[in-house]
Amino acid sequence: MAITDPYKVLGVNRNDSEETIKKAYRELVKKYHPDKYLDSDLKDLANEKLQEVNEAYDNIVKNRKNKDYGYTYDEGSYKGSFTEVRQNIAKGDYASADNILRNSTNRNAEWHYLRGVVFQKQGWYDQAYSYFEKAHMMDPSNSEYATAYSQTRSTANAYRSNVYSRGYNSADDDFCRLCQCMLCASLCCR
Amino acid sequence: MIGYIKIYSPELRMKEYVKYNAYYCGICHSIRNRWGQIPRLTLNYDCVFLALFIDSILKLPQEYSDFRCIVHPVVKKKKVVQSSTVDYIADINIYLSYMKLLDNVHDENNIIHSSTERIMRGYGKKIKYKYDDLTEKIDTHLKEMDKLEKEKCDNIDEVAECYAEIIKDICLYKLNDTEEQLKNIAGKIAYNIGKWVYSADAFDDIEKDISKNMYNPYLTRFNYEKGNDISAFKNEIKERTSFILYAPLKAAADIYEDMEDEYKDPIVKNIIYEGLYDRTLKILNGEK
Repeated sequence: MAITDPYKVLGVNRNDSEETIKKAYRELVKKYHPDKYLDSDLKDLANEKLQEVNEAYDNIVKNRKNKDYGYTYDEGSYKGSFTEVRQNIAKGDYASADNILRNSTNRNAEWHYLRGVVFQKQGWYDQAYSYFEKAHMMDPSNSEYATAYSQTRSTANAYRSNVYSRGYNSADDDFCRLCQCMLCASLCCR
Repeated sequence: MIGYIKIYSPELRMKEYVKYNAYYCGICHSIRNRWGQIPRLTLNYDCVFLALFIDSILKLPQEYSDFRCIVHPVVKKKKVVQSSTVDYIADINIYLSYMKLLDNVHDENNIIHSSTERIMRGYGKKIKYKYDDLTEKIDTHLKEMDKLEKEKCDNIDEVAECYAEIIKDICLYKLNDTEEQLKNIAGKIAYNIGKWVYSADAFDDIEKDISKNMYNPYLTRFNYEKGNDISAFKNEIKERTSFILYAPLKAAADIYEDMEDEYKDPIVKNIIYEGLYDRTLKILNGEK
């Protein structure tokens, strides 16, 4: 079965956190669980729904993993005025994309967003941040811009959690623990 | 911009720690053997990282030898020998230090700066000649940086890029014969680390630059008005600065993840994840 928009199926937003999405998914699984419809006429429909929900969730998880860094977007579902720029970005030709954007007079939210993408790819993160912010402010309802903006804002946290998951501990803590151990050890000796 | 890239030693294994120090000593001795005593003083930890990083990609085998160091004469230490990377980085280290001195003289021509510049001039010129295509690139980036600084550029990405390109070129010069994709990845990591170094150093220098009335990208980027309270200003920009510092580190770490395991070195990993993170924390909190 083809899924139109996995986020719609789960009733969540594109920029919702993984936790929220997981929660929504669990609720839906409970709702359509076959055990609930054992003797009901709705059994087949519930099954179908459940399958849809499962696929949508898998899809989101897979997609999110793929775009752990960099900002990707749905090319298929997209209808905007900068098709060529988006094609260039998808090809990795940032110079051409940048060129078209610079010469464009239509400086709408999408223009700001796409410049942000180009800056991001170029390694100009501070600029990218400002452009994503502007795009999001100009069109707060657009989930694409909202995602880019919130991902940018959480960059520091993403890196930090990476570091801590590798076992980083600040040295001060270690010393505290050492002191505690010594203290306990000396108590034992008495 | 010197000495920012360091390991986070509590997370390093003993043998890695020994290897790291052996690189430091190896570079130091390489300078002594080929250039004499004076330029040894310019050695810093950034270069140790560059040498380790390049060697981990070239996968060169290392040989160690024992020696006694004049600074610590009692203990026997290990140094890396016969690595072309070590010699290369030793040279580049001298060149970068010389260029820094030259910059100091331009910024502020006092007797200390001008006399140290004069002492180092001969070494600088010799190395410039030895690696002429690379040093030409470095000079172009430095000129561009100088130009942007004179223009009081408020785009920190643009200024930091000059330094980032220098670090990238230094790595790529040595990786010329490696395969394209690997070179690409290594170049991006080097670029991002260079960007971090410049941005971190500039943030560290805010007080100094205000007092000496010198250019600092943070002052122009965040419209610092003369006479305003410095610590209030630093506090105000702290959140965005933490983004400016962490963004290149996140990018470098992400790209490093993409690299084949055989090219990964635990010390390089330690620096990218813990060492630079630890430094960033300290810089943001104003600790030295």
